[in-house]
Amino acid sequence: MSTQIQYYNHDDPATAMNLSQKASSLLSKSSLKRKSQVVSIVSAIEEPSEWAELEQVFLACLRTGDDESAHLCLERITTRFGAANHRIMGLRGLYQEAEAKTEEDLRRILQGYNQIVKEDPMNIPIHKRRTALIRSIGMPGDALECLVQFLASFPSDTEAWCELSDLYQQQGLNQQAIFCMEEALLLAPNAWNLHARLGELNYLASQSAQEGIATNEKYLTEAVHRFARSVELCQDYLRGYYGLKLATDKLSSLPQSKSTNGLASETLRRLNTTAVAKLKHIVKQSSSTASGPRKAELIAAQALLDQSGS
Amino acid sequence: MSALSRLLVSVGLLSLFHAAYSAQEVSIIATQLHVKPDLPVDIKAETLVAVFLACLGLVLGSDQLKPIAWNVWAGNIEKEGGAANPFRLFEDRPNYLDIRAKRREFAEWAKNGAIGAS
Repeated sequence: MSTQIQYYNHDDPATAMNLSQKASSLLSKSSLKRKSQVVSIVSAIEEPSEWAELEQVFLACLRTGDDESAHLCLERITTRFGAANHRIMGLRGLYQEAEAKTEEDLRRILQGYNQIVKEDPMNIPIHKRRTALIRSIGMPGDALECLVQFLASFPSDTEAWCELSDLYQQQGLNQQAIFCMEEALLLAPNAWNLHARLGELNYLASQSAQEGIATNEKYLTEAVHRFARSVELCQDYLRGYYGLKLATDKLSSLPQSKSTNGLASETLRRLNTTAVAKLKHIVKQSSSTASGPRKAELIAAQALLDQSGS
Repeated sequence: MSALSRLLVSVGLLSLFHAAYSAQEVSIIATQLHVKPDLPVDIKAETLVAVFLACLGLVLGSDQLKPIAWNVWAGNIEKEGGAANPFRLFEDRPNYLDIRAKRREFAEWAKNGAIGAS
């Protein structure tokens, strides 16, 4: 979808900081300055990736609190694409939210969003900003309602299904969260990280299920299936093998039931052995080169291996 | 392209031209002497060796092949930290970014990180 914001690794604060420091050099680039129509005919063809980068720098500046640079970036993007562009409206909303000092400010921004959505119900970025703002000011129930309504109109929006799944999971409604993640997987059947996520959701559901061993087993079996699919789609996928080991461990520790759709204990044992072997291999192979979040993952994997004494 | 492959390609092409030139000369002389033009075996051998050398140089100098299997490609992305994963935005959901929480988190990190880093 054209309105999606292109991804950059923002999770890591250090990355955000490095990115925000590029602001001044990027803003002084001549290719991103405003040109008259005559000049733009003879000058070099503009690179879409430069604008995408400017957008990322804008987000990083907002995050690191460099509001002045963020404002300059936003102005530059707005002059190029126009203030009525949906994506630009979303970015402007984001800027206002970041700038808001009081509850009153936030409420005013929310009213602005409501107004825009009422006038133009096809404005997807503002729909999403509105949901995010409602969720951020601590009204998860309203955010749920908002998202469900949005998905009734835009059922092919994978990102929204994932957000809904996350929101349900946060509210402790595991079954609903699993349903939403399954819907997202229908739209992106090759997404290995979503398969792993669905496996995790099933695993969580099995840990909190109160309905007895049969339901537990059902969830865990599903989790094993999903983790297995994720490692099938992505070789040496640490997250997938981690989940596979956890789920197979738990499933084989359950008392044997007579249900026919469960996995054979021999299959489980082999899956578990494979997962352990693969985890050891991955930890050994990449622990010397890893850094940042990846390093933390490897440490967790090592801890899991140590814990089970294998 | 490495130096070896460059060398192989240039030597191959040069000797290919040389073989072509020799063949041309043989044909001219044969016509002048009114005999049946018969290509000597050394020119034939030179042509074959030249083509082989040039091909070898091109193959050696080509880029590394890209993975064509989905799981290998995905595995490489994950090995590099997963930033290039096209499905990653479904988990990070940048359009639903809670910027105020992110700002707080960064301020927190900067406060602790500044102490930790120095």
